[in-house]
Amino acid sequence: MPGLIEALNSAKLALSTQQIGIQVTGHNIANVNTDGYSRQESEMKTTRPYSAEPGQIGTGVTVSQISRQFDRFLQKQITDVTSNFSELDARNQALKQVESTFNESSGNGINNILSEFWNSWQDVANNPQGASERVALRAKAQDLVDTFNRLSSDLTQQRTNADRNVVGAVGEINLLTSQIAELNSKIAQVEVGDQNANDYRDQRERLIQDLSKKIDINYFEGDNHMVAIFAGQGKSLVEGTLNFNLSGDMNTLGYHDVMWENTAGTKADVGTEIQSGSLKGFLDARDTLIPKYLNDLNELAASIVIEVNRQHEAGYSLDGTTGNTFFAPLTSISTTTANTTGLTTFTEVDSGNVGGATINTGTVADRTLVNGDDYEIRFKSFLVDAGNNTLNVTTTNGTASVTLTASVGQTGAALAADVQARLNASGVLTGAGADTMTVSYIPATDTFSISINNGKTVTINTAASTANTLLGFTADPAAASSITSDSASGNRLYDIVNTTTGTTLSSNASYTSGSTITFDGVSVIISDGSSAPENGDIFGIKFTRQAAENMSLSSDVQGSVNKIAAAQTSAGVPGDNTNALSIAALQNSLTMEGNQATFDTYYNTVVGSVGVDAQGAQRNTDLQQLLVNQLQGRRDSVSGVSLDEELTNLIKFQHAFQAAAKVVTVIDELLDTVIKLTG
Amino acid sequence: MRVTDLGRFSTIANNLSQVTEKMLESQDNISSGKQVNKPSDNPVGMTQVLSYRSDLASLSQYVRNLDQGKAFLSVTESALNDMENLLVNAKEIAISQASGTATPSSRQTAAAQVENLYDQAVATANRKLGDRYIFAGFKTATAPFSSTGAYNGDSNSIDIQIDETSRLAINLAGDAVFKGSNDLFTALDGLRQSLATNDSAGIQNAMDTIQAAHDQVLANHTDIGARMNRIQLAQDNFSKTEVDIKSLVSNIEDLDMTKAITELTSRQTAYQASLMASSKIMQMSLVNFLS
Repeated sequence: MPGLIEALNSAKLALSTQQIGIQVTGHNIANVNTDGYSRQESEMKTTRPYSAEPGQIGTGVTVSQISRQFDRFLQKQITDVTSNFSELDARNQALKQVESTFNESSGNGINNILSEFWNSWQDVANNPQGASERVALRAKAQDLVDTFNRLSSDLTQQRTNADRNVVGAVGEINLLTSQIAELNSKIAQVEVGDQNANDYRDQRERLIQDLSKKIDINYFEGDNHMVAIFAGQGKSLVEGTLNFNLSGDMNTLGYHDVMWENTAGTKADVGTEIQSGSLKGFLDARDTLIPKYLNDLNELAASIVIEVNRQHEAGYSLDGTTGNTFFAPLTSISTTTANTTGLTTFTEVDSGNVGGATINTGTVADRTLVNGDDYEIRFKSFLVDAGNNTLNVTTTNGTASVTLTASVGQTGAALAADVQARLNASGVLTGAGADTMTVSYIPATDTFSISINNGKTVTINTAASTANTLLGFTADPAAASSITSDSASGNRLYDIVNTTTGTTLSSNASYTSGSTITFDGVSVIISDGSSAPENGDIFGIKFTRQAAENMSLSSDVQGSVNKIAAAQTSAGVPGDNTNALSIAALQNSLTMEGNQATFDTYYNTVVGSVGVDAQGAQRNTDLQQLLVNQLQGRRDSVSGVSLDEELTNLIKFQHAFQAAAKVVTVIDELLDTVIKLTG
Repeated sequence: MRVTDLGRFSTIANNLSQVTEKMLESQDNISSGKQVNKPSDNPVGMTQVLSYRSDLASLSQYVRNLDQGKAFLSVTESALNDMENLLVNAKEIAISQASGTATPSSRQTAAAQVENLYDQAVATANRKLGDRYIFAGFKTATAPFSSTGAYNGDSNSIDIQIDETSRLAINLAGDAVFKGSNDLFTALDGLRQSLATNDSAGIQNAMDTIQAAHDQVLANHTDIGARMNRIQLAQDNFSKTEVDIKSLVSNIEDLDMTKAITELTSRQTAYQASLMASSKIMQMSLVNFLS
C-alpha cells in the first residue's frame, strides 16, 4: 500500500544508513595512521520491496554489513617474509658486533699485536743480555694476552646477550600467543551473531605478524572463527582460546634451551625445530655464529701457547735454568710426566652420552707430537667377539629351534644380515606358513629389530648386560618364536676424530675398559663407569677449551724477565740468542690447520671470514627488507586508508543525507496539507 | 593501484632513509680517508691489508735488526782497525830494531813499547758494545782475553734475522781473529822477549809472525766489510719493498678523494631532490580544497 508514511519510513532508513556510512568513514579517517588497520566499508543494500499496483515498490536502504578490506593470502606472505627478515636481521646485528670485535682497521687488533710480539723476540735476539729488551718483550706478550682475553670476553658477552635475547623473545612469544588466544575468544563471541569483528581481527592479524617476527609460524582460521597457530614444525602455540607457553630452561652450558610444554606439562626441546624468526637468529648467533669465531680464537691462542712454550722450554734462561714455560699452561690439570709443562689436556664427557663410561683427565705422552687441536672419541656399534657369538632361535610352538653362530669381528649391521640369511636358510619358520622374518640392525640405538610380516616387531637391546634372552615371540606360529643370544656385550668400536681439522685418526678401534688410548702425543683412559659406553657416546679431548680466555704469562716470566729463555745452551752464555731466534721464527712457521698456515694467515683468514659473513648478512637483510617493504606496500594498497577517498565518500554520504532530509521535509509538508484538508 | 596515505608516507620515509644512509656512508669514508673501514667493506681486501701490515711490521723489524748488526759490525771494524795499526806499529819497531844501528839499550826501550802495545792489544780484543764483549762469542758478559792473551770466550756466532729466511752472523769469535794459527799475542810477546834479550834472530823472526798475525786480522776485516755491504744492500732493498707494499695497502685501503667527493655531492643533490619532491607530495590532499 503505497503512501506517505511508507515514503517517510524509507527516508528515515536513508538518514540512518547514510549516518552509518559517515560513521564508518569517520572511523577510517581516525585510523589513517593506525598500523595494521584495514579499511572498513559499509555495504548498502535495498530493503525488501513490496508488491503493489503497478508493480514492486522499494522500501529504502539498509547496511548489510560492515566489511573489511583485507587480502588473507597477502597477509600470509607477509607473515612468512617477516619471519625470514627478522631472522636475518638478528643474525646481521650479531655479526655486526662480532665484526666490531675483530675490527682490525684501526691497527689495534691481534694482527698488529702479534707482529709486535714476534718483533720483540727479535729485539731480544739482537741483545739477549739486555734487560730492557726482555722487559719490552714481556710487556708486548702481556698486550697479546690481554688482547686475546678481551676478544674472548667480548665474544662471550655477545653470546650471553644473544641468550638474553632468546629468553626475551620467548617471553614476548608467550605474551603474544596469550593475547591472540584472548582475541580468538572475543572474535568468536562477536561473530557467532553473524557480525564482523573487524577491529578485533585487525588486532589479531597485527599480533600474528608480530609473532611471526619472533618465530616461524603456520596458521589457519577454523570454522569457529578462531585461528590455530603452529610453530615451525607443528608444535601448537595457539589452539582456540588456549595458548601453549614456551620456556627457556637453563642447560649445562648456562644458556637457555627453548622448551615447549604440552597440556600434560611435558616439556620438549624445540630449539632445532625453529626455522626462522628473530628467535632463530638469536639461537644461531648464540650456538653457531659466535662459538665458531670463539673457537677460531681459542685455536689460535692454544697454538701460540703450545708452540711458544714448546720452544721456550727447550731453551735456557739467563739464570741457566731450563724447562720454563713462557705462557701459563692452558689448563691447570696436573700431569705426571716431567716434560709436559704447558701442554695439558681438557677432557669432557658429552652431555648426551647414554652409557656411564668415564674418561680420565688425560696426559701428554709425547710433547713433540701435540698440536693443540681438539679431538673426539666417538663410540659406534659393537663387534661380535669370540664366546659371545651365538643366537638361539626357538619357536614357542616347539616346531623348530636353531642355534646360529655369528662370525667373530662382525659389526652389528653385518650380523643382522647374516642372521637373516641363516634364518631364511634354516627353515626355522616353516611352521609359520608364508611368514617371513626381517632382521635389521639399528645403529642409532645399537639394537636389533626383528619383524615378521604380520606386522609384529620385537626389539632386542644388545646393550643390556643381563639380557641373555634377547627376544621372545608371544603369539603363535606367525610370531611364536624366541631368539636368545649370548652376545649381550660384544666389543665396542670407536673412532678418533680430530675435530679441528676434521680428519679421522683411527677408525673402528676396539674398546677395552681401562686401557690407554694414545694418539697425537695424547694419552687418555676411558673406563666403564656405571655402564659401558654406548653407540653414539662421545668423549672430548680439548686443548683449545677457553684457551683465549685463560691465556696468561707463566709465573716464571711474570716473576723475572731473566726466565725468558733466549739461549739454547746451558749457563754462562748470555750472548746466546739461538732460542730467541727460533721462537721469533715461529711467526713464519706453518703451525696452524694441520701445518698449512702460519698464525698470521690463520688469523687473517678468520677476519676475512667475519667480513664475508657480515657482508652476506647485510646484503640478505637488505634484500629481505625490500621484499617486506614491497609486500607491506601491497597490503597498504589493499587495506590502507586513503584520505582523498574517505573525504569523497564523506561528501557522498553528506549529500545523500541532505537529500533524504529533504524528502522528510517534503513529506512533512504533504502530510501537513493532508491534515489541513481533513481539518 | 590504490594509493593510501600510510603507504605514501612510509614510501617517502623509506626513500629518504635510503638516500640519507648512502650520504652518511660517503661522509664516513671521506672523514676516515679509507674505503675499507671494517672487514665487511671488502673482506678479501681486508685480509690482504692485514698480511701486508704484518709484512711491513716485519720489514721494520728487519731494518732494526740490520741497524743493530751494523752497530756491532762497526765497533768490530774499528777494533780491527786499531788492532791493525797496533800491529803495524809493532812491525815498525821490529824493523827499526832489527837493523845494525840498534843497541841493547834501544832494544830495551822498544821492549817496553811493545809491552805497552801488548796491553793495548788485549784491551782492543776485549772491546765492548754497551755491556757486551764483541769478540767473546756467546760469552758476552765476560772479558774474552786475559792479560796473558788466553781466550775465555767461545767460537759461537751471534746471528741476526735479516729477512724471513736468512740470518747473518754479526760477530767474530776472538780466538779465530787474534789467535788460531797466527796468534798475535804470542807474536807480540815473542818480539818483546827478543828485544829484551837482545836476540836479533828472534826479532827477525817476530817480524814474520807479526806480519802473519796482521794478515789474519786483515782477512777478517775484509770479511766484516763484506757483511757491512750485505747489510747496506738489504737495507736499500727493504726501503724499496716498503714503498711497494705501502702503495699496495693504499690501493686497497685508501679512498679516491676526488671520486668520493663527487659521489657525496651527487648523493647530496639526490637527497635535496627527494626532500623537495617529498614536501610537495606530502602537502597534497583533498582536505586543502574542501571548505
